[in-house]
Amino acid sequence: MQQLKCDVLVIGAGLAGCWAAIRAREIAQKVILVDIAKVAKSGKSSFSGAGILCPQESDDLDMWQKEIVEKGQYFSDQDCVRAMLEEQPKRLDEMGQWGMKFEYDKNGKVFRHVGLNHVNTRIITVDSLEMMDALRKRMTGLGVTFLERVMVTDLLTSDGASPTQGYVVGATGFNIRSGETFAINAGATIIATGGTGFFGSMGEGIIQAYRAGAELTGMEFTRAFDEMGFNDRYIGVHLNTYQRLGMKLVNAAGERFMERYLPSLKERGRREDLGLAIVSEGMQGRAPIYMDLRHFDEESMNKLHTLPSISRVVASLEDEGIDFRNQLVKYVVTSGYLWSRAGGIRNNVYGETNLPGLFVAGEAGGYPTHGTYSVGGVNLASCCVGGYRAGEYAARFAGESGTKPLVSEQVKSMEARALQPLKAATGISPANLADEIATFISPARIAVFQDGSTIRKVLDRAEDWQAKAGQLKVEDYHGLVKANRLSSYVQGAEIVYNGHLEREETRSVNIRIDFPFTDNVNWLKWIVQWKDRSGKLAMKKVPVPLYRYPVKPKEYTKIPVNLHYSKPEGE
Amino acid sequence: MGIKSFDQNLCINGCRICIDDCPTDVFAPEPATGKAKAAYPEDCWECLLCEEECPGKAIKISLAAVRKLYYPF
Ligand code: SF4
Ligand code: SF4
Repeated sequence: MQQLKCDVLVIGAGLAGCWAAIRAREIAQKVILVDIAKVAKSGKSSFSGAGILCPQESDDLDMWQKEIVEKGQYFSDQDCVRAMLEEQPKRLDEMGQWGMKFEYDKNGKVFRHVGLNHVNTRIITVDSLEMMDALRKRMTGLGVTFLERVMVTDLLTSDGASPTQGYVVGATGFNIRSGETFAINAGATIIATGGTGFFGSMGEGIIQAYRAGAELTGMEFTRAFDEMGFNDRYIGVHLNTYQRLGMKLVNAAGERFMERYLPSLKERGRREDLGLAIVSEGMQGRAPIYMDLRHFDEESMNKLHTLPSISRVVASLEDEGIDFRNQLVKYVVTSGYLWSRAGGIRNNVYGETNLPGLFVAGEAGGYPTHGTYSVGGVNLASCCVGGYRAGEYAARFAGESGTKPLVSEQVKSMEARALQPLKAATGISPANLADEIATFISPARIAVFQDGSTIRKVLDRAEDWQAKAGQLKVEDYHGLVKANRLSSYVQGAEIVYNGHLEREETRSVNIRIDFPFTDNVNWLKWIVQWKDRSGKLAMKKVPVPLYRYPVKPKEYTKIPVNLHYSKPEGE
Repeated sequence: MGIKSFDQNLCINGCRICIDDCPTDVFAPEPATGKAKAAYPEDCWECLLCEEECPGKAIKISLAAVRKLYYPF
């Protein structure tokens, strides 16, 4: 085992992690950035459509804040929203200095556009890989130490206990190719590992923090459906570009059904509302659903073939014989996989968690800026500002309290736990367990239209999955990644579904057919979950501190939600 | 489908770009030849990075998902 020491350890090298490492290194001497893949070619941000919120000094930020908070149903941490809006111009300037390119209008000003359904806010679109390259160069210049192809498996604590009563003092992990193990001792640790739902990531960073004693919040806003795809097998990324250009959805009868679900927005609605409508049509026997672009004029068709990111995807789909010009293209919703939305490690405007020495940035922290909904461009802006702030305060924390020593028994037992699936003589393969979980949670009655009884069914099974996750068997280090992810994922499932059960209302993707209303009388509350000293999942409800926030609801009422679904007779 | 085709004849000895860059660690070096091989094609997430970066044009990616998909109805 290799032992490393640093002031600040950053885990995860997407946009938030890179920003955190940069800011930390501007203050602290030794910063290690560890990533399971290659720095700046990893994480969601590197492959995103890269629409970034772009506020400027002349903008009315109060109006921007209002739009973000209202769309997030008042669940945002408004301190974080404000910091993001005020500080993002500086972050964009810096990325420009480091080589990220902006688009300019004919007056030489940065070209901003209005995101889908935005009113006050403006975004810019950049090339995501180019943006990440600029950050990588900056880090190399500053002397950030990269540790690539290393998976972190657990957080280390000053008292050797998980959950801890002390400090987080670093992390353990292994090289996913060579198997070499690491114990990294840090004055402060920043988790920037994202959520679930991309490149096989299963929210392991969030659950590692949970095991160490960190509080989580917003986990009930995780959905088990999404990733709409074409012709049953082509993943349909960049939905919002099709939406912006004016795509239509029709059902098997040729009806433009979104007019019934969202009379004013129609197909321009939120991704999850479209998904919900498609599933609802399917449940009523009106599938298949098609995306229709045949009415596109030359200009829109042209954009589809030239806009950055989506043009690559469209070319690739056409290569496979999909003909958007002349055909209806079958469009499906997939399910069975827990997609994080707005949940993660609870943190504040300093990126601090409840554990001393542990900080968080980006989606692993559930984006406190978002509330229940991500206004386009807020996620990446939140990564820039949140990353910078976590880097700053983690470095300052490490400067004040120094690096507390590791507990060697804990290092040893965590190493043994992480490597166990490789040592086991027999056991279950991660693919089989993942398949079992997905098969169980994918039907609409569980993945979408939940009620107390179906949530309890999942919770009953979750115990069994946890037991099975303890019996995984893999052949190599590549497989070991999956085993470690999956054992975090099953713990995550228990947390998510307990959150669903607790939240007795329908809000965002917390859909409860037994509580078909959004309850702004009793439920303007965050659910906070953590692992108590006996190892059990504990929960509390924390009222959103609207009393001190500038944006709040005009009135506090219960708002009915039409879910377009009724329970089958005799169920 | 993920990796639709991988033509090792077009792979440039010692290049390693796809091995270094793939976010899901699909590629590994072939010790005997110094070329790349698709060691874990089942883990491709169709990000298209390798296809775009490969100087030998050895890799063709299909956006058809290689992982198993599940449906609500
Ligand atoms: S990127 Fe292309 S040329 Fe380079 S190692 Fe991979 S397959 Fe070979
Ligand atoms: S498309 Fe992306 S995930 Fe798939 S093999 Fe190439 S680089 Fe890896």
